[in-house]
Amino acid sequence: MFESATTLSAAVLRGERRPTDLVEEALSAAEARAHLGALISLVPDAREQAARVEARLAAGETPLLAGVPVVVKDNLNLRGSRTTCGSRILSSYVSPYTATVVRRLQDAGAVIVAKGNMDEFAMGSSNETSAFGPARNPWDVSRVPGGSSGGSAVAVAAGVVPLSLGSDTGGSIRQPAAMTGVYGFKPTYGRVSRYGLVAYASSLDQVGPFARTASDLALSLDAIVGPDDLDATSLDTAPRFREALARDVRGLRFAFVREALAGNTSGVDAAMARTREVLEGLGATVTEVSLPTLEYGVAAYYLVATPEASSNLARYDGMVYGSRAAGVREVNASMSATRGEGFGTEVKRRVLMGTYALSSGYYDAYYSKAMKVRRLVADDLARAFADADVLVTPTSPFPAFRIGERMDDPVAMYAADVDTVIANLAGIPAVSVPAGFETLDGRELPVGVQFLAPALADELLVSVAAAFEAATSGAFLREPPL
Amino acid sequence: MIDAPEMEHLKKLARLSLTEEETAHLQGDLNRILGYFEKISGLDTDGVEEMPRPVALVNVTRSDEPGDLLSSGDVASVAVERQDGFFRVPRTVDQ
Repeated sequence: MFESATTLSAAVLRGERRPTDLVEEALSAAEARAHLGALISLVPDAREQAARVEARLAAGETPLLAGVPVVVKDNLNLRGSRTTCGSRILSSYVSPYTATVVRRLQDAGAVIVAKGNMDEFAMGSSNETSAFGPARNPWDVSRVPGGSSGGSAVAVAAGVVPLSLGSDTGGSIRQPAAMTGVYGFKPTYGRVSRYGLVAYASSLDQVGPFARTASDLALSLDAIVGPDDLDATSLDTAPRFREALARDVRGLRFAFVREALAGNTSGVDAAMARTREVLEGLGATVTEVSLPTLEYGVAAYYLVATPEASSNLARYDGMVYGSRAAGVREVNASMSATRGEGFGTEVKRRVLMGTYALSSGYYDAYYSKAMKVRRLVADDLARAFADADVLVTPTSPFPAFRIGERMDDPVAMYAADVDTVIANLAGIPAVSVPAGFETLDGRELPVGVQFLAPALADELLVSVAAAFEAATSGAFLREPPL
Repeated sequence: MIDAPEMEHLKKLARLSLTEEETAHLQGDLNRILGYFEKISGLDTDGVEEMPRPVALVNVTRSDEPGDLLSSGDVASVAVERQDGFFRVPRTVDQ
């Protein structure tokens, strides 16, 4: 299914397509693409959801995403559906409630068809830490799709559905979007409710969409952005994304981040150079800006994220829900055995790292220090935005790497997040836009460019994405060779 | 550097049982990662205020209105072990 959500919902509202047919198409596509490992489970009541949308249409409703099949990352709860977070410890967990963001999609007429594969508890940059096996890049199945929302990215890139949701704690939407050749949007922290999103690092986590067109990005953001009584960090700002689609970018000031221009592959360099020309052609001002703290972002990010993760994951002890190790009677031993069996290596690594950074004697040197560096990164960005409306970096320094290539070297894996973590540390919005291809080993691999804006200027990024897409005639929005 | 006794302490704090092989492997990983994190130790942060979260929201509360809540049956449906409508857990206090 390579039609856009915008096209499909319009056809549904005209009565030319039926939600119950679209859900069958998505389920067939899911089956045909099963070898990509994009999905952890199919939603048991997907057909009933489609029937309910048809009933609403018959009653005269005209919802925004009428009948559009959607995949959501498997850390978003949907009542009656499994929510595994890519982990053994939750492999049999069935949600008794629905996340606000998922409910909003359903209220907008979307049909949730499946749960997307992901790095375990969203800890990873390649989708390889999933307990259910890796997701594969549709451009080259020997390569990763990026992570942690790899499955949601692949589902959209490979045409299973036109839209999906991921979560982005350090780049987990934008990086897989870049590596699979689709759009990925991380909103300003607080613009999308996190109620029902399984927490990884609560001060960084944010939910956002994957899409194949800028207008689908706008449609999905208009459906999901807004305040929520059930999330104390949600912001009371109305979404105006579709209005932003036609806004001119002439006269906007773009600044390329100088420190992000070194150390990239040639295909990424070419995409950056091309982006500069496109923006100038659109009548925008293009300059360069220095972000001296960029190189400290990854260390600060992991020292903020892992302590939060070690606290958030304390709840998986096998006492109340999830799984419990068999045959261990003493309570602490039971918890330790459960977690030892239930967590994969990367989760164990981060839980231990976070525990260490919070432990007596190390708190100041690590966690406190990281929170101060976080402030420096945010201040640096604020300074850059004094003279620029939008900052530009690559989304990732390189295109998709091979499955297994970085798994033995956590530091090399973490380094992949260099350009994306700054947006999470500062809480600002950022989008990855398909902007080129790089041929490696005879295969074309997508390359993404990242645009960042100040907090609450999310709509501006949709204007930029739409203008870029129009100026390049959608040249980088290709279907992978399936 | 995290040494072997400290590794055992961390495992206890984190309620994480690991095999000997895993322990050795993760200890090596953690030390390599800590080496990388040294990057920020030289950065001057004197007088810089910690930034624990990106938005300056304080004491947000929802309206105190009655609404739909999960039923006790829904809540109990997630239990690892259930007995007579209650969650059953390992014994936590000695008799």
